[in-house]
Amino acid sequence: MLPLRPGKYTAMKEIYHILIQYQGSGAMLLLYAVALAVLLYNEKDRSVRILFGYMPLVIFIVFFIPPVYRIYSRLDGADTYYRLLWLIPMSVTIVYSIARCFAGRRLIFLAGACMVIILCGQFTYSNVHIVKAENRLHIPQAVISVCDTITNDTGGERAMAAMPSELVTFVRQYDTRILMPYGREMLMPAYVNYYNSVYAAMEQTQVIDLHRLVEAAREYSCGYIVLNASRSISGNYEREGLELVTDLGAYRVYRDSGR
Amino acid sequence: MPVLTGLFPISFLPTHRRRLHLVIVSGYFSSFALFEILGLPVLFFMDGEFRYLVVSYVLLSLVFIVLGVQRIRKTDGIPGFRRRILRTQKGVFLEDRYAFAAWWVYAALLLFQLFMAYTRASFDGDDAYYVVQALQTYQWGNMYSYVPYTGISTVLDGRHAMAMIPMWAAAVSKLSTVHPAIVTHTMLPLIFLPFSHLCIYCALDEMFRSRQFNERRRLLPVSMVLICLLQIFGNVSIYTPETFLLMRTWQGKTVFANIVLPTLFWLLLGIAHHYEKEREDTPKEKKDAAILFAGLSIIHITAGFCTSLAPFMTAMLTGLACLMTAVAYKNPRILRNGILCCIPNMIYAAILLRLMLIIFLSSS
Repeated sequence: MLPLRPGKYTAMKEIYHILIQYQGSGAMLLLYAVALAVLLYNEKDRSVRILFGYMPLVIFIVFFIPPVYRIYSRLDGADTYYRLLWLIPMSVTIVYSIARCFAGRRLIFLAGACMVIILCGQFTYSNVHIVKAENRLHIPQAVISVCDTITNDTGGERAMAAMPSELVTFVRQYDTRILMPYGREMLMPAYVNYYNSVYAAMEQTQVIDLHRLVEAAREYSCGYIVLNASRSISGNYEREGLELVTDLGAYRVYRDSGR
Repeated sequence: MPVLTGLFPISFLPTHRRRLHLVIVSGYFSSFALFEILGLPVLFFMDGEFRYLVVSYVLLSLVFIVLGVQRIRKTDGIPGFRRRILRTQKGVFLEDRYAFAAWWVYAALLLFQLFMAYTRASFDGDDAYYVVQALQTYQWGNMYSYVPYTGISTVLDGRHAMAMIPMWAAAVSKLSTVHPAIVTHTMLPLIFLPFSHLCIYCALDEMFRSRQFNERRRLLPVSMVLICLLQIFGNVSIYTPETFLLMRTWQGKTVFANIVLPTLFWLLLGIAHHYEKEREDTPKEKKDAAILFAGLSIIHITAGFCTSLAPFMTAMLTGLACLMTAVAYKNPRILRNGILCCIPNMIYAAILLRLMLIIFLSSS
């Protein structure tokens, strides 16, 4: 066999890595492979064989073609290349094959199939990103309190506020009257080399230097600075022109009156 | 409103093939496609003035509803809704205790999903884009005028802006006067979860078409139970459609993977079944094929409503499916019609590539 060219080899490795990441343990992929084999072996309906048997095989081959990967990466970025696998109807094929095998057999077979699905899968609601909702907005209550404090203080006018990074994803989902010098982009891997002076002063330091933070915030015309109460802070609030608006426990909202 | 919009497309079906679930599916798809078609001109030629979009969307939806009601009434309505659903189906359910039990298990699993969707919050970083876009539009009346992460004014981000689903969420918020975060996080999952199941049900129903009635009525509920289980235990990674469905139900990517794609497979299979047998070129056959291909076009427009790359994917899937079916059944018309159905995708791609080129040139 001819050795693969380096570029092609790297692309193949990346595609393989994407597949591995997509399917986790691989048990579900194995289940699908078995279901596909059953469908191709058993299925009498020619149209079903074509669309749910042969076509996914073609898509799977296309998925592994390096030029396809490169073109897709140029268009939308390699991090979403896994979406090509969405074109393979895995769930429907698994279910169809199980249901076909179930036809005319005992209920115990169906119970066994359910057990296989449960064992191969992962309970979605045990995901760490799923928590009990605190309100109908499904936004942390602390964020709502911070935002309400600021908008009440401005009388409903727009205001620029520097926020701790754990809040930036949620603040503008609740109220877009609050503007921020940096947002969720600073938490994304694509922006790892991007510099924002407020973010640097707020997050890229062990102890927040109040003078540095206020100077940076003023460059962005921030009227408010929200600080996480658990962070260590050096400097004098009054000397920097910061006035405490509210202490919410976990967060303290300051108004910059020295602008 | 989206459900009633479905009366118009359904009125083109022969009376005996009109079903309530088809009204729902065609209604939502027509409504999404209509919103996309109206949204793009407003975005590009009317400075993204949201009120124009909402007003035109409501008015045209009402026109479609009125036309649909009129056409349905003139063409024998949706026959035997009471008879079919309330009597016959009840009889069918009770005759087969396995089917009856399976439907109840399915209902319990669906209720569990809905309960979890309402009471559990799943935090996803992409909401800082989608939900905020909806909220900005809701609060300020302009589409895509500000950077969602920071709120600073910006030029139009064409690549993301072409998918109108965040604006649809904003329109729902405007019409219901409910905060977009509640609409997206709490209300839409209660609609999109069962709707996704309905689309998968349609695809499975078409797959089991060759089965006998007695077998089919048992297989369908059993399949729906298994689908629910696959979704509930489908979190093998953060990338699977099942994870998207239960954790970010309101996002366009989810609608694409869990609503558009199953429906596309359903129609592609319907087309394949249609051409399976040698057919005479009668007006009735032509009309049946035209309805299927028109449905395909609506799905392609809806794909553009969900996410900007989706039309490329649906075009690829349609092209591949039509090519394979055309070769298998030795009928080039399938491929020709399939390509014609991809015209919306081509227009969408041309606009998108032009916008991306402008962004590329202005940044370089």
